[in-house]
Amino acid sequence: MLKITDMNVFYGHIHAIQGISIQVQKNEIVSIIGSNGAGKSTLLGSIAGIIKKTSGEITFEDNQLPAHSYEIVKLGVILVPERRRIFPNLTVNENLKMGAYLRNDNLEIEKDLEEIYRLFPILKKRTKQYGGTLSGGEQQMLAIARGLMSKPKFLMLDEPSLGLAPNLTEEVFLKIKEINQIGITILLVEQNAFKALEIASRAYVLENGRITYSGIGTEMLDNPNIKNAYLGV
Amino acid sequence: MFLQTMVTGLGIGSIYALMAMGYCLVFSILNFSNFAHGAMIMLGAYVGFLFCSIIGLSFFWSLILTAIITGILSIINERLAYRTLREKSAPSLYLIITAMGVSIILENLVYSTIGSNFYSYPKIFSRNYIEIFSSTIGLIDIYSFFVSIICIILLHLFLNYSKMGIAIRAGVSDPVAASLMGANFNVLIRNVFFLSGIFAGIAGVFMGFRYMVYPQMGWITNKAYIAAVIGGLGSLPGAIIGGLILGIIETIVSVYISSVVRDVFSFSLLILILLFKPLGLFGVKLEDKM
Repeated sequence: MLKITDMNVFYGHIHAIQGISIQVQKNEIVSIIGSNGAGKSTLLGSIAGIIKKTSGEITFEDNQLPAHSYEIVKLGVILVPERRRIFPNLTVNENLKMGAYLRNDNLEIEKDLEEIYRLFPILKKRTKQYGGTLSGGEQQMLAIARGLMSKPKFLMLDEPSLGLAPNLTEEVFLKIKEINQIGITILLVEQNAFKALEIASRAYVLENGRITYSGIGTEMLDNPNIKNAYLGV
Repeated sequence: MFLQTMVTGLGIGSIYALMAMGYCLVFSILNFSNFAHGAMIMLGAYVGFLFCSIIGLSFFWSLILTAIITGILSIINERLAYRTLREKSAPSLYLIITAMGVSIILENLVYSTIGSNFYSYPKIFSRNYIEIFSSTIGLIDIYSFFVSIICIILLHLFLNYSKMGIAIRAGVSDPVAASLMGANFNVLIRNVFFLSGIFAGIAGVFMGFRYMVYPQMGWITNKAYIAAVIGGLGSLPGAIIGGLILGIIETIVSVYISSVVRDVFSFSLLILILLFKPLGLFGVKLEDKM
């Protein structure tokens, strides 16, 4: 579904992504794990069009991805960004409507709102509240829900467990599984390697801008090198 | 006497509020003070004069057509002068200096084409004043006050209930996240400049009608800038309250003290507010305000 071939990204002189090639098949959950500064967010940002890649090719359903983020969103490729970035000055309802910005099917949008509130009951109690007043866990739910409102085919999640208590992390990962089951392909970037590998069909390890290892999620959980470096066992 | 002073103050204040809102809209999304806004107001006064006096349209239609034209001029201003800088992510200071340049260019363009003559609008009402409770109330004050109120209400409805309005507010708080939702930031900016141009046009026609039309009249908008700063740059309610406060204070000073010291009071008020409430009355905390 999504294929990246030999992509390079530079920040000034820093070579943040060094010739990465990855693939995501339809209906998969693919996780990318790696430590701070390995280039995980840069990778997702380049797919979403908010970071300009220096070279390489990204194709989605066999077509080149366009250059601007607003054109990429149109294709159903959606990024739920790091640190959630919900709009603090907009209400929960307005945040969700913002997610449906490119859609014009108002009746369907209303239906999807109901569906979202069923999936995330906590948000229903907060519809009129400003995004900035939500707790961290609620904000994460809102960020994911906002991403879903654009009817994605391909959803990228950047550190969804960041700053969340363990029980909330558990809940977020359950939701991610649920979203995948309704037919949305997921590319997940996480520092919480254990959780990320547990739900992934496949996974990549990113180190200093390079892919150093790839494999089946559950098999990687048993790999001694990965255990040492990322699972802290 | 007091009623009359208050109505005049509100009348002038509401025009300041309109001008301040134009500053505020651009400031809140691009974080720089668009000093070309004053020149837009001046152009609005000329365009309104053209419609009202030379073509002979009614005041109402002159107001509407002028608003649309200055709206478009404001979009052109952004496209030609600011976009390239924005795309190179230039610091706000560069944008401010460019805005000042635009304002000087437009002012001198008017000098060299239309000339430095002063023009005055034709009479629009059969009588200029009405008597209420034995005070003389200027009709233009009432007119400008109500037009401003309508503009404020329409802007409020637009920003809170339309898709584009919500997107503009989203873009104000996080342009990158807004673009991740599929909003084209350049389109948001274009609409913001259109709105700010509309307000400039309406304010320009009222200023021209109230005083005179001449190339340097854009500098009156220094007052609107003061109003925006008093209210807190970037806050729309602040711009409105700031404008009204300034209008009322100026009128009171003119009536009860002397119109000569009017501007002394306005600028002193600005300094006092900045000393004791640097963010303005409704200020939003930002890294650097220029």
